[in-house]
Amino acid sequence: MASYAKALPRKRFFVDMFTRDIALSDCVLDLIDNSIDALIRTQKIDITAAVLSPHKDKSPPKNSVTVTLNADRFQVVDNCGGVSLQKAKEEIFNFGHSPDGQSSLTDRGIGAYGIGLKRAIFKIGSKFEFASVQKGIGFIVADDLTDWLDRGDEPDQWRFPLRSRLDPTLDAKLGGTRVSIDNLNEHSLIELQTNLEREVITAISRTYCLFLDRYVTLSVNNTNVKAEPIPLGYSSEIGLSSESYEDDGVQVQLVAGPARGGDRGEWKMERAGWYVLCNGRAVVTADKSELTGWGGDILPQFHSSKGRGFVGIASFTSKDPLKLPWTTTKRGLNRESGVYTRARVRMQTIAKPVYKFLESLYPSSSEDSDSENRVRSGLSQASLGHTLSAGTSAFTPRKPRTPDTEVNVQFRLSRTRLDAIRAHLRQSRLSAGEVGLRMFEYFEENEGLS
Amino acid sequence: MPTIYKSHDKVRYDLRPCKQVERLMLVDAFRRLEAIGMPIRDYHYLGMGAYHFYDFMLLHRLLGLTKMTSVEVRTEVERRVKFNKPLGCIDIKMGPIGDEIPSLSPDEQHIVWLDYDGPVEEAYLEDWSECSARLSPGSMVLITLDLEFPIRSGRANFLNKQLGKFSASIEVSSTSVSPKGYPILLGKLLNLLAKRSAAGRKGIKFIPLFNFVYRDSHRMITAGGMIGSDHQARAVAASTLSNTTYYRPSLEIPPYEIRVPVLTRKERNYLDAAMPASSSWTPDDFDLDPADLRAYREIYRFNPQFAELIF
Repeated sequence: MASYAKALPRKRFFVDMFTRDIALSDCVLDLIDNSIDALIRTQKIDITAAVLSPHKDKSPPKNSVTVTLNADRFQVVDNCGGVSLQKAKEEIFNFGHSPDGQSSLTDRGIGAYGIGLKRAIFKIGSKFEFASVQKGIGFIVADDLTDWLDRGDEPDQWRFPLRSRLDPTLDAKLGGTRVSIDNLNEHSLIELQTNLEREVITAISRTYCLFLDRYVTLSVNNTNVKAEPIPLGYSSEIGLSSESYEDDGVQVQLVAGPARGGDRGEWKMERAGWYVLCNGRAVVTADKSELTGWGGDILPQFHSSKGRGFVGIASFTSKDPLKLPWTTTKRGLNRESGVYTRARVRMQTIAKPVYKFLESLYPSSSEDSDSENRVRSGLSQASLGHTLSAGTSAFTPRKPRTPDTEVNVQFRLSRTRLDAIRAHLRQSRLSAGEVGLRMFEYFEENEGLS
Repeated sequence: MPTIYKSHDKVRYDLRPCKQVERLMLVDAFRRLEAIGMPIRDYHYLGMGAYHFYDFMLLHRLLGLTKMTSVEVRTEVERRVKFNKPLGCIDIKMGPIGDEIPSLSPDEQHIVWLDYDGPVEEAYLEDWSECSARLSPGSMVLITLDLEFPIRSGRANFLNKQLGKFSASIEVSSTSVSPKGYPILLGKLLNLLAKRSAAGRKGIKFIPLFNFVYRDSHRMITAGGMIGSDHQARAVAASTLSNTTYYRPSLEIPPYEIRVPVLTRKERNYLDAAMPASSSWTPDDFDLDPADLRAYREIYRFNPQFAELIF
């Protein structure tokens, strides 16, 4: 008779361990993801179209997500369509998706891994309620995690109580969901007192910038969150560098150009870099690191003084959210993704001409320049429809002016070394600049250059 | 670019026999590729013609290319360059060749020759990588670099500085920067970068074809290949190009050394009359170093003949 080693799941592991890799604010975003996902499903939103075309209709959307964060309770309520009773019983509370569940992921949705809801509950507090109504059928799933843990790890104890109920806070006509978490963990209380609300609002304005005000309104503690649009600037004189292609079931849209100025017209470093979107959800914002190709084989490293006018958008969309190159926290990119590795090379080729153009605006080492001001003032907010629908466009700005014939040469040198050279020349009063010039001339003469 | 490396003011371009052999071998190679159906004459050539435009003239006359762009980085010689342009179908662009690469049309095939005068540097390798990432399938890219070090000692340090971020991609040691090891080191690095950049493209890879080392004034290396599909790679391997002595299916094996022996006109005519000759044949009427004879047998078809014109 064969013998076996047990390989049972332990509830405590899920409560303690898999909450470690994610920040609290990201857990709140995971709950919002589920609302947005429901929205995509019910309204059949195709986000590729949204990325391409400007937002014309100015009337406020009827769908909303209301977030409440206080010391008693964290809550996310939406009217984005709700969840079916069947799905709640069979799918939502499992850890991960069944094969059937996987195939029923929302088309072009942002729900992917089947852990966001549970992980959020475990991270935030110990008592939860999940109430939903769809097509007139309402139910509520509620439990206290301490009780759940006490009930033990036997296979038939991996479940939460569910009963029929039409929750009065929900919109029965549109359908909606309420997730509430009480008995907050100590850690949630601490973060609430430090910066959680502000962090969540900022994260929402960036992460859902394509959805906000166009498909859904979002509020946090009664503050309406406004989208922080990706500041890509456009002028017909300069154009944009772009490319669109399909790779393994994923639509990839890449575009780069000069940044739209901030409130006072200036280019801001913290908004410069690459913005990466997966099914419309911003995963990485204003990235200037080698994650998005800076300092790679084709592109130089990002230099703050010259690159701060650079904005790039890399949008990945797919019917199957699992094909997208995001990590399980959806705040990072999966480096092993073939789609992303291939895209990263192309992002470099798209970025290079824009970056070089920006570099050329600063012929000397000075940080500001007339050329920069002139270029910036000619830019308006890019509507991506111009560019991405065109397929590929080459970036061919007119060169700002002929380059300087002289350059500044600057470097730091220790005083001792400089003094040693002055002593050697028997000219202790030479300025640093004059010493430098002598050294230059010496090299030229001795190497036969002059 | 430091002026020390600008060769056309110091070396008479028309009197570089090894470089001329290299150019003619490349023309020979392109002819063999045309024979397997690649429409080389329709390709767009991007190169650095300087004042003499040698490669442009050869490609136009011997292969029939009519779409050509010559790039000159020294903006102060613009008038002289434009004055010397020998053909109407050459477009002159001023600035670094790297600036031209993004505007190469994906709807055309190109031959891009990054014919740098100086030793390897970070920006050159970025240009090389970008070509591998961008050029349409069937296109070719070549790079020429100076193999000499301007300082006798501290070669490894010098190289690491020149490579910048790319120094992390290969092993620089005192053996690998020796005269024998250095071309292999560069070959490995160029191959690696071309592969990495082409990895971003589905079904397309870098196919090595050429790796020449020669010395007229400075010892130089020219490495290159095609950007293409597996199908194209197989077609090349099955073509007559693969039978030539100068073909290199990998940049990591020893390169082809172009050696042009110094001979008198009388000696050349004598040798030509016996060509093609077997490896055991030797001239009866004079003695020749066996290495020179071997070299002559390989390059005689590509050997330039210099003469003085009085007019």
